[in-house]
Amino acid sequence: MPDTSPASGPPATKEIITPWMIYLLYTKITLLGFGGTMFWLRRSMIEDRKWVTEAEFVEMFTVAQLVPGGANLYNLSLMLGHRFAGVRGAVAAGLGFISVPFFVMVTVALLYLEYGEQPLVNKALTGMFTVVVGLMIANAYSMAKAVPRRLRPWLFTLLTFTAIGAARWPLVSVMLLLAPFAVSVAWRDIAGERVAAAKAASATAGEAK
Amino acid sequence: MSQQDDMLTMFWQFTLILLLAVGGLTSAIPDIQRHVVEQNAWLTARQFGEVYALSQATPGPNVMVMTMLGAVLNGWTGAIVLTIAMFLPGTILTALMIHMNARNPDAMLALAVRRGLAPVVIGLMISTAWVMLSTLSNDWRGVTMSFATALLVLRTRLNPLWLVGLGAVAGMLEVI
Repeated sequence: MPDTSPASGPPATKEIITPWMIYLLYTKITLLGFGGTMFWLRRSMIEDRKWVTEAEFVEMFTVAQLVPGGANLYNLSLMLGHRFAGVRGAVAAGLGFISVPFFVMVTVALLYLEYGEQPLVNKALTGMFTVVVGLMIANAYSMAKAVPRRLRPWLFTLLTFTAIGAARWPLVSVMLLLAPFAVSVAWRDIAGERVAAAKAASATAGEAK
Repeated sequence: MSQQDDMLTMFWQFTLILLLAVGGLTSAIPDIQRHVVEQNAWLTARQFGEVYALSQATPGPNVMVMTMLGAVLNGWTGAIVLTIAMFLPGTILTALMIHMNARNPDAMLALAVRRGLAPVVIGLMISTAWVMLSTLSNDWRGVTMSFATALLVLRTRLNPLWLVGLGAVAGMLEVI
C-alpha cells in the first residue's frame, strides 16, 4: 500500500531544529500550563513556529492516543521530537516534558506536607478541591453528552460506572473483562455496517445498469 | 509508608492501572484513589483530593500529578518511582510505535477500539467525578459549590484555572 500520509513527506519547515531547541520549547510549553498543555502545544508547534502542519499533528495525536499508559501528550511529544530531530529529538522532547515540572511538583508537594494543615492554607485547598470536583462533573457531563442515544453504548457506560465508581472494584480486573467485550461488539457492528454499505452500493450499481 | 517493598508494589500496581486505564490519566484516578485511600489508608480521601487539586493548579502537565502524589507519599523516592510508573510504559510503547513506523494503525481495529471503548471511558470519567464528589458528601456547601462550578464551566468560556484560584480565595474567606 503506498504511503500517502502527510508524515511521510518532508518536514513542514526548512528550519534546522536542534534537540536543545526542542528541550527548551517543551519546558516552556509545560510550564505555561495555564490553559492546558495541549493548547500551548498546538499553538507553538503549528501556529507560532510552523514546525508541523495541522494534519500531521492530528495524525500523530491519533497514534499517540492509541498507546496505553495514560500519558497521551507525552507520547505525542516523543513522536514530534523524533520527527524533528530523530532519537535525540525524542529524548529532548521527553526530558523537556518532565524535567523542570518534576522539580516544581516535588517542591509544591513538600510545601504541602509542611503547610497543608495550617488553617488558612487548608481552607484554600478545600476551596480549590471543591472547584476541581466541579470541573470533573462538567467534564463527565460534556463527555456523556457525546454518547450516542442508543441502548448499548449507555449500557457499557453504566456497567463501567457501576463497577468502578459505585462498587469500587479493581480497575485492572474490570478492564480485562470489559474492554475485549466492548471492542469485539464494536468490531461486529462495524463489520455489519460495511457489509450493509457494500450491499447497498452494489444494489445502486445494479439499478444504474 | 516507606518500606522498599511498598514502593515496589506501588510501582507495579500503578503501572498496571495506568496501562489499562483507557482514556488517559483521569480514567485511572478512581482506582489510584482506591489504592491510596481505601486499601492502604496512606492518605485520607480529603488529602487525596487536595493533592489532586493542587497538582492541577501547579504549572506542569496534568499527568505530573503522579509526581506530586509520589512526593507526598514518600518524598523524593516516591516522586521518582511514580514518575517512572507514569512515563516508562509510554516511552517504551511509543518508541516501538515510532520504530514500526505506525502511521496508519489497522483502520478497522483502531475504529473498533475507539468506538467500543468510548462509552467505557465515559463511564470512567463519571466514576472519577463521583468518587471525588463523595469525598464532599456530608458538606452540602461544598457539593453546591461543585455543581455551581460545573454549571459555570459548561455555560461560559472561562479558563478553569481562574476558577481554581477563585476557589482558593473563596475557601480562605470561608465562603466554601
